[in-house]
Amino acid sequence: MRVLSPGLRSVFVTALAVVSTVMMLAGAASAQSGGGVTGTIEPGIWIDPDGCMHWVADGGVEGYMTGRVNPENGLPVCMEMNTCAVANTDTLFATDSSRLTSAGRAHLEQFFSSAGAFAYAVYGHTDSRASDEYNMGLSQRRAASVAAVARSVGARVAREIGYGERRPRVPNTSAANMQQNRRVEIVCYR
Amino acid sequence: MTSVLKPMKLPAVLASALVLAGCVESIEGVSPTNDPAPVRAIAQDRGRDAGSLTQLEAGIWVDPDGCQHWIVDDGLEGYIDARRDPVTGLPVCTPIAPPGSIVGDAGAGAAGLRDWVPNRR
Repeated sequence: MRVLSPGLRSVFVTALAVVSTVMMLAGAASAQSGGGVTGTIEPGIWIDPDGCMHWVADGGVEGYMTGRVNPENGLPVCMEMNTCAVANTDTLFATDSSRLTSAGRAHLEQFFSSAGAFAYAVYGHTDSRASDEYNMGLSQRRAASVAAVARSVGARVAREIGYGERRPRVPNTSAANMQQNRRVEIVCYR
Repeated sequence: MTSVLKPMKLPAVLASALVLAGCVESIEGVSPTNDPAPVRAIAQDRGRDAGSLTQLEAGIWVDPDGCQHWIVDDGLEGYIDARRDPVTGLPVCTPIAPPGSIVGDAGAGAAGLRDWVPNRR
């Protein structure tokens, strides 16, 4: 195999980059001027067993489907039907602690023994007090504590993630809202 | 130049094409259009198993990476879309079955047509 000298190679790469840029620009122009709207699709919404929405349309002898996402954050748009459990962390843990209270542990053991899903995802969240970094660590440790209870009763944990204060359920504008944001969410993968 | 079709057979070929088109039209409720920008797909199946697409029954297909997709066999149409965690949007890749497997009822039996599968040699 022949090897290009470094100088030649850089010329070659530059030429390739120029050619591909020109081709991309030409492609974009033709896509814009190439005839405009060529049809419409009037989709319905199909809701999957997890509660998430999908755009769906029947073209006669073709079928089309794509997941509906929130344009702001790219997350799927879902009904709240399969978030198996949302536990407020005030009842599971002491403030700033990832050690479960005995009542909290008993509650979780009972839940994971009876929910009957194939696997579980555990997500920890905090309110916006304290630093982002601290809250990421705290929510991760709390998710890990909850996941450990699941495993202790033989349940399979698919993932355990701490999101800190980055995914609030409601704006952190009042004490009541902050309480709603301090939570552990458990999703059941059935 | 030699023609593959003999002139006398042309009417027969046209007739069978018409029969075939009629068959698809009656099974799937479709028709040809001259509209340059038609409605190309709608929220209803107007075919033999007519109904709203909100009522689809889905199975799960496990892809070669082990991640799950909702799969629906609706007769002449097939639908597939990723299964995503409702809270975080992450893919769902729990090992419910070996890669390639379909788990559950994707609906082929209820779609009003016998299910046809690819020829394998």
